Amino acid sequence: MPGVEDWINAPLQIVQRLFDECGAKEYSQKVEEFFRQKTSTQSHVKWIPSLNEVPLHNLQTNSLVRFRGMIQDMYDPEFYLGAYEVVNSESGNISLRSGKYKDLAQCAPKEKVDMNSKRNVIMERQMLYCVPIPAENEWTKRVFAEQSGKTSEAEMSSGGGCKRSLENDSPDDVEMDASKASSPDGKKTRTDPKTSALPISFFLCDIIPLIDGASNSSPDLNFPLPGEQGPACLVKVYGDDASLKLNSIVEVIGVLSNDPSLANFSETKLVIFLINSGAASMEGVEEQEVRSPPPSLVPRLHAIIINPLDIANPLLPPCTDIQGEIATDSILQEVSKLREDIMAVFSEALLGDQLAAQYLLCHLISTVYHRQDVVALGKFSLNISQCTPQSPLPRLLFSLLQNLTVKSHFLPLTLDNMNKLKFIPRKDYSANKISSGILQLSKQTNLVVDETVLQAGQLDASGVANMTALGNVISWQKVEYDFNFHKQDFPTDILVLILSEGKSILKCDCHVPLSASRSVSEIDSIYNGIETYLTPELLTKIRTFLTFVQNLKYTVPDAVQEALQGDFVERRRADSNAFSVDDFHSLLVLTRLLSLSLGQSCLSLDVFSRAKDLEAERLTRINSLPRSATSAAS
Amino acid sequence: MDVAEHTVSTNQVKDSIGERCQKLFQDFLEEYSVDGTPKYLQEAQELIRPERNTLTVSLEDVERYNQQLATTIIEEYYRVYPFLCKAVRNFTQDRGQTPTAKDFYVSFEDVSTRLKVRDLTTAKIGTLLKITGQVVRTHPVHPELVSGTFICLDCQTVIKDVEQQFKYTQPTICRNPVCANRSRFLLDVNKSKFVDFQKARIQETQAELPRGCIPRSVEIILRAESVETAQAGDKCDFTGTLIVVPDISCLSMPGARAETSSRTKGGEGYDSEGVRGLKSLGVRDLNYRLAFLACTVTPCNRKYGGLNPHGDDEITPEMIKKQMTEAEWQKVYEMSRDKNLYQNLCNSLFPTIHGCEEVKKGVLLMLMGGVPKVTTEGTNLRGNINICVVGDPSTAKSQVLKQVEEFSPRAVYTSGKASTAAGLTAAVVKDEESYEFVIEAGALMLADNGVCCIDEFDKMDPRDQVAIHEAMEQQTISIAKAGVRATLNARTSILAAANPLAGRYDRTKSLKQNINMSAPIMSRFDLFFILVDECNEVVDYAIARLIVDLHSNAEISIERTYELADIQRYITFARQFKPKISKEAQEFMVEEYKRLRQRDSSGGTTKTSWRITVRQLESMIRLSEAMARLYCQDEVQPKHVKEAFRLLNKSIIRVEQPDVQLEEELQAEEPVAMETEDSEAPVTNGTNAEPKKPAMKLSYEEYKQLANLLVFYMRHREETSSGEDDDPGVRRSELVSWYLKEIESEIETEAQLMERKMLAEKVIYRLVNHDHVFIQLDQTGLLKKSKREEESLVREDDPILVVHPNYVVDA
Repeated sequence: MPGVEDWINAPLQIVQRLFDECGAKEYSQKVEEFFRQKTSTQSHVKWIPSLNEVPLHNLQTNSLVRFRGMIQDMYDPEFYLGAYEVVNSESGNISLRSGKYKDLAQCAPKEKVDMNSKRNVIMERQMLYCVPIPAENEWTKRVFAEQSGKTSEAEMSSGGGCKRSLENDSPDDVEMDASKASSPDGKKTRTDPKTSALPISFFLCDIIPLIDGASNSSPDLNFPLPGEQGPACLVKVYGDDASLKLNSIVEVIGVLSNDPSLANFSETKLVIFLINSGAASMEGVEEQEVRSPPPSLVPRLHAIIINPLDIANPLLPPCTDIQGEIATDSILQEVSKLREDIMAVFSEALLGDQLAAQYLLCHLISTVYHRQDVVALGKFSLNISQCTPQSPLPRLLFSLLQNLTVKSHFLPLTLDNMNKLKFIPRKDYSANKISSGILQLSKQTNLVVDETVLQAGQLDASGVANMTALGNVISWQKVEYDFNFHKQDFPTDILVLILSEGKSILKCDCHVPLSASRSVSEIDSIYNGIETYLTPELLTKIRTFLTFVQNLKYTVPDAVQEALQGDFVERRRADSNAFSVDDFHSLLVLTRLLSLSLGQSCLSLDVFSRAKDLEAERLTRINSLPRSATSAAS
Repeated sequence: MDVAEHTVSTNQVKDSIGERCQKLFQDFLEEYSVDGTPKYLQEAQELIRPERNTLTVSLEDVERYNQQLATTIIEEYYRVYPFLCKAVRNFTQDRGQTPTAKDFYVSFEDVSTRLKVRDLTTAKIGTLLKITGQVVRTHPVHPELVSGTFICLDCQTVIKDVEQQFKYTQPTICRNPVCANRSRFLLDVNKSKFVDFQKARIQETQAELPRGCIPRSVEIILRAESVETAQAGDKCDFTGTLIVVPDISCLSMPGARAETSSRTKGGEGYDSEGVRGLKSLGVRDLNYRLAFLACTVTPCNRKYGGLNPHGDDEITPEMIKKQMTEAEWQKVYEMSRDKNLYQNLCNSLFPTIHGCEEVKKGVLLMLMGGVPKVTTEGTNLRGNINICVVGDPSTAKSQVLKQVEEFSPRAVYTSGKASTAAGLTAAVVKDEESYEFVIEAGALMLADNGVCCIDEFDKMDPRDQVAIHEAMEQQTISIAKAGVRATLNARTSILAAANPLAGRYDRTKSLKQNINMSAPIMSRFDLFFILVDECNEVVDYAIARLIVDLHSNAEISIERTYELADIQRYITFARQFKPKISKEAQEFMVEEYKRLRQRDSSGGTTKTSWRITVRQLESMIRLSEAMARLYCQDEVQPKHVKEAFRLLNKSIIRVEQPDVQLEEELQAEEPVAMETEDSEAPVTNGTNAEPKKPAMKLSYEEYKQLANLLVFYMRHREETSSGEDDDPGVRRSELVSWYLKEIESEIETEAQLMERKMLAEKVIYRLVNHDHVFIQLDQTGLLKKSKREEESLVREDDPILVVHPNYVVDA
């Protein structure tokens, strides 16, 4: 039996052995079984180097690696020789080899592939283009890396996100890797003159248009969010797995294939360029660039095991784990204490507004749990209005959320951003790929929209389209991808939080006017206070808690259901105009979230009345707003 | 000489099946005849013309002629294809004087195996099949070398007929035995054979796409006469076979070096290696690419998109039937037999929307559509049905629209707020690359032959509303901008949703006063539905049940009688019927129309939203036709007209006559009284309880009549007494007694008098508090006694009433 090193460093030998033992029909299953068994325990998985953390040049081709990413695009299936015959020209021996999990045939010096053999079998594999999880926060990456046990090294390389270019802009950066080095120099110089301590992504948001313009020459790895970094990966999947959906997060364990010979296409490309400098018949070049990018930039990964990673929080134990159950129990035990802590932090962060803090917590743990025809149930987009324009509040609040949530992105809604950013993913037929847009985000990503920076001005056509798309995300939780000849809806689950001065131009599920009891001028000291309050232990707890309750199962006992109905009818009887069906809908969503935030997976009437109280308080606040602001509300 | 010919001859020797097929196929071409005349003779003779080279053969004919031959062609298509082409060549050459060197091709149609793009797997390689997809990209046509003539640069030997397959292929070795040249050859362009060649790419259609996946695409190779038959954006059927090809880039790379390869036998496609210049290293790329070699292209916009852009005359229900599988047809048949089809379809279409039955029915009929007609003068009469839904917020309007958009294969959803006239109809834009002006399709054009759902129609700029006039009635869009003048088709049904002006629908006002829409636009809607957020305990309970269910158990399965795909298919099928109006139905229609007209002219107090005109008659016809289509019937029968009339009636008239609930006010009054006069609560309750007994209900007309009478009197009083300052105005009691006096003659008993009095008071109350026609001056004396303020605000038990200055009597 092969040892540990064996199955990590030379998985293909095992594949071949199983192929020889079991024959072409059954071996695929055996291979999967073998590796599943090997990786059944977490500690074993940790031995496998992760592509997200270890730089590519430190990894060996044809070795087993892990990769965590989002499916950004699905290419057309690829056909390959699933089994091929090799003839040894010296001995004349003929042997049949497995063509799975590799791009190139393996031949000894004297061997030759017999392409005409009758025993060759053509097979099909799916190709998925995966990008690092968009908007994944720094701490998430760090914890993932720590779990791999490669802390020190990973710290350096995983910082390959945005931090590195800022913090340690040392010369070894440039030498890192061909792929990294090829990132545009312009980007670096531009991000350099940073002086503030704010998280980098703020600045990236600001300079997006600049980067967009500048990075045209660099290879476009098609990340949904501008300014993101990390390894993209072309995952080849064997077997028809219908469960793989666009934008889902997967963890792949497979055979790395980044043989430089795969890149030799670039030479050909060069030739074509020279021949057809007129560019008239350059068709296909662009496309091939997408299909076969240089492996140093986009390594190929032949997936042996591909697991959907629905909850991409490294702190949350997988539910099947027994240890995990204990952990969840311990979370539930201190829910009330934890909730108090969170409320304290949030109400501080929202300048002392308890009510808004309640709603913010509910918003953060919302998720689309079911779709009924066109209705997405469970979405709870939040609009916090009455934020002072030009105040640092939105950014500071976001930096706080960034520290608590798994995935988050900050979008300053300036005119420029609206007009120039790409929100909607669009099919590029000449390259035959989906060119991504900001709204191509994975499940349960927090999107914080800062409307306070909006100024009056002209929206152009793309701006209008962008706003419509954002509006659609909020009201239907779907993004219409532009396929040129038609539009295709893709369901999404993005948590949108809008911070605005007046009521937002986008219609949210819930609108809370902020009533600050603390002055904006103290904001810096407030947030410094929060920072010291959030000890690492507390942070870990909150992070775990948020994702945990977000994915709790929720039930409503029959008796409570009756009561809810009764309440609706009662209120309608009192005044039909004051309480509409939609109000009831959102009240039920709020009730659900409130119940979950209290750690109660089973709804009690007590929670329901609390939710009603919250709503009542919110409505009084809205009604006390100046008329002009509320007239649009109805 | 020998080498090249040797390979050919070995091929021939080896492939006996091919040989046999060639023979059989030639026999078929010669012998197959319909009604005594050889079917393919005429067509073969046309191939003499220099630009023709492809003979189209129906596979069904082959099947009828020789089942086994047909099977062989389907299963071994790629293998026997060259032999079939040879058969055509022989057949043609026998019939006419064609140059012997000319190559001929065969293309097949009526192939029954239809596959989706996603189904193309390795197992299908080499067999004859048909796939459907949307063309997303076409490349320019260029000549492809089919068979090359080479000159050896060493010994000048001419090597003929080197077969070329998807890449430039040189002879492996000069056939001159003494010459050892293996690489230096020159292509003699003049003596080589070329064929037109075009690459296209098709993509999985929207309907076939599994949820959450990116549409797959496949490269299509078109040759000979089939080039330039597919345009980007078309939905087409391609007949041909799946092949695996080596790296495509070689195709566009003249001068690429590769070895000759010969065709492998056994239907496995080519043996061409995916060589990428690394052979010397012993590394071999194992990847292949897939392509579809198409011989026939047929546009198929009529597949479940359902609607043919070239006018409906071309398709018959039979043709649609042909495109369906047996199971699909069975289902459609079953559905057409369903007695309760109308209701079942409605329920299956909108399972989550509670109530709004009429709207659902209307939308269903809209999806069916009426029959478009052309008058003898050449005017087009539209068959599309336009619907407008007006309603209070949160009455599931948007949900209806979204649902239709989801369901209907060709539907566009747009919001009136976000779209400008240009975006809705069409815009002239400058192309970024060519700097030419091009017409960019707007939402209405995109929904040609489909449904355009416009949400927040009322929020649309009135100018933009005007812009869609033409589209709604003429079904075209005219553009005259930037030197571009064009009339474009926009045969779309419009499903609009609008909010009432005041945010809520005011039943006391007419439809027109409730929505912000010009009369011409309004008249173009066949059906107007008004959704009022009704307060009704039974309904509320049902809704609450639905919502709570939705929120508490995520895994509820909605019961649909029919699957959406089945409904789509059914509608596509049913839409092909062109029902004629039967005699009885005609009479019935005339009768109903007369009734409508009469009511319109006689009912003095009813304010219909528009006068009942011919337009409504047309709507009725369209709706009746749609009804007949729904049941797949060729004739419109009175029962269809009846339902059409019922819907029309509901949509126009119902809202105009809501019963005025006077009861409501009583209830509303109670709590107020309780609060202010706490101690006297039992007393007030007692007084209020009395009148509750008789159900206080007035029809809208009666109410309006009474109100107008009162207002008229008040106005009259105000005018006559306008000069006198100290006239305190009309007190409520005064008004009531005046009214009772007016109707003195009608009253006989005291009870009746009391009742009338109550009624008048209620009406006045309503006019004050609800309709704001009267202004009630509860507290008087502000001006006169300003010095003694505390005493000045006298609470009047019998308040003075004044007519609202802005109120216009609109009888």
